[in-house]
Amino acid sequence: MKVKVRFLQELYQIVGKHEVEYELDDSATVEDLLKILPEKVKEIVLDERGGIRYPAEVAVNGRRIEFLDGLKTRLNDGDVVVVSPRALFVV
Amino acid sequence: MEFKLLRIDLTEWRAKEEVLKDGIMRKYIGGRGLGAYLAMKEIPPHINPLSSENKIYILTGPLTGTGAFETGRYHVVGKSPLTGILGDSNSGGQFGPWLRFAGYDGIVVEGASDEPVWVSIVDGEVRFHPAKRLWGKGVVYTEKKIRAEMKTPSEHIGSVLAIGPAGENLSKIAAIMNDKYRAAGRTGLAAVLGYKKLKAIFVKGSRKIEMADKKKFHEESKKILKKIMEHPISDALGKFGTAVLVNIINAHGAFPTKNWTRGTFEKAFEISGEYLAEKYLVTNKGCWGCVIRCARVSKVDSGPFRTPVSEGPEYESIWAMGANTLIGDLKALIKLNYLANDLGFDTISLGNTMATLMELYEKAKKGELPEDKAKELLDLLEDIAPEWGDPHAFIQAIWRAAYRDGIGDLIAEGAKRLAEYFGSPDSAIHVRGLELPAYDPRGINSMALSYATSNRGGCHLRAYSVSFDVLGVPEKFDPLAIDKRKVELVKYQQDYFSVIDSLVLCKFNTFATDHTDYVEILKAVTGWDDLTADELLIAGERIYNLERLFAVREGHGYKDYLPKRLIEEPLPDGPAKGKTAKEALETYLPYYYELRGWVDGIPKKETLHRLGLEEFEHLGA
Repeated sequence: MKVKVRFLQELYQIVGKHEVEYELDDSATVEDLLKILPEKVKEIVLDERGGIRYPAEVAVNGRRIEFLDGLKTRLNDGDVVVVSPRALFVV
Repeated sequence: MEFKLLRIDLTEWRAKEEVLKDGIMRKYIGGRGLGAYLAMKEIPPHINPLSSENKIYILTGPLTGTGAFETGRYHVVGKSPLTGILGDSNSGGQFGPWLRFAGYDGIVVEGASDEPVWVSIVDGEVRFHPAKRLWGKGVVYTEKKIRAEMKTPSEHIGSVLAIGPAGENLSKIAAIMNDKYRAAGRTGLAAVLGYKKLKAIFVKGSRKIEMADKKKFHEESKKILKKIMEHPISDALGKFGTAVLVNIINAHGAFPTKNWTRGTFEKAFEISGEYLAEKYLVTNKGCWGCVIRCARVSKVDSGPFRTPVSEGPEYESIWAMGANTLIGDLKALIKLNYLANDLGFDTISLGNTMATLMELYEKAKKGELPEDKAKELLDLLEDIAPEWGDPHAFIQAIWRAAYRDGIGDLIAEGAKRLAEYFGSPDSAIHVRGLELPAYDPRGINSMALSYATSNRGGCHLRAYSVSFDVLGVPEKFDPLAIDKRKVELVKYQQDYFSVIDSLVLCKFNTFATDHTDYVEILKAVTGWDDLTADELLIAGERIYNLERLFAVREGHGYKDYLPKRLIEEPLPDGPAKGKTAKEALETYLPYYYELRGWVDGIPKKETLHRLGLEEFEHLGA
């Protein structure tokens, strides 16, 4: 399956693209997706134990993963995953 | 503490000084709170906001210009020509501090001049200057001419507050501008200055701000500054500006698009803070004494949207004039932002009003407006075809709105009056007549309560409940889940933000701080040694109730509601697809009234008594 990943803020600057499409196994989770992101992105988003590093945030189709199944959230073909280096905050 | 007011009588071109008592200051703090109190005491009920009886209060707060942290702002209060109830707005830049350095903590603009005038205040000396040659001119030119006349070319010294043609021509969505690109935009108070024929105020001086305990002030100041600097939001604001929100709110499906008929915009990235930083940003900039520096300095080099180096655009302006009208070209939005600033418009209200116009135009063409009204609209538009997403039509319209030419005469009245005039009132998305800002409560449900109960009308700055529904400050919530604890936080924010607006601080402090952080520093400045955190928060609650009483006294504007579209029409797209704001509002409002001690939007007499508002008890329920 294919999912679209949107990179925000500094992650956009690192990747150089706002949206990148990734090919994943049909049973892939958010955790599987994060593992194949560029190293520099992973350094910001993931902590030593593979969890989400504060204050980064990940959302699937506009829902933060903490309100879904966290890193174990299953992905589906066509999903849009937003990865942000800090809380998906607003002002 | 002493609070020195300058009363400017424009009828007689006279000024006099007045020192406010410590007791009033401690009860209402300054800025927004003090303005609400003075307006309630001095502006007679039921007056026409566009008359010489209305007053405009331009106020600082006890921390303004102290250099502590984000203390570079000022607050404006008066009866709003847009909403007919108490209006107020807040602006950054450097006018607030320079007003204090010029010798005064606040200005009350009274009466009305027969001819255009501008006022200079330099080290306590007030002078009136004929402004005939500035009338009709833009804000940028006005500042340039006044600085030349005052022999103060450096923009780091002194400050100019001005209105543009929009305010002069009594547009109800006109903004009071300062430092060229900063706006006290909301509630149309620039039209009141326009009525009074006050074009501008220049301030400069070298007065030192007195403090009860300077050493303690510096210690406390450092503590707060550290919290702000360490917060991840402060860093993001400096790098990407407020428009860092575009992608975030769009991802949540709460980015109002096409006049609030959708929750996501396909061109969001192309108008985002990230894209702005990459393509058009010259540098970032801060208000006076600011460490966050969220302001953008941008430019467009060539083409039809060429724009000189200037400030902006902010998240709200990008959204209102962009996604909400389907304009997805950031160059065009930078141009529109520049024009809106120079002509002196509130970009939130203007963008909403243009989105309303585009919807009306579409309806007229489809035969969905009353026939006579459709014909009148098409006639008035003359050569303008306000199609969705067309920046050229917007540019034509904004100019006409500023000078009330043709259709511009109705655009200048704001979205509500425009939509009502053409027989389609639900095409205007507003609360109490004030157009809503850039968060759809169908996707961030606490905003349903924040908007509905906002005293000045549709506004995100009375309670910024997005902070807990999306950011997780002070704790995380699911923006789509109904949770009554959100009601407690909305009330808390309304009271806390009333304190912040009265101290006159930047709201970007509030992600890293709560009301308890300001007790010691306020003691150090004012000498109120027995001040407690509870007292400060109760002052905020007092202010919130007092503002509500202004509406009660007017006999309208105290009903809490949301626009029909947000209650009845589910979002068709994004993560909040299928949601309306109905359930949230119906669940939250009764509990809110219980917490507030209100009945159907009116404070109970016992509530007023508890808050020390006995002198207004007759207005209570």
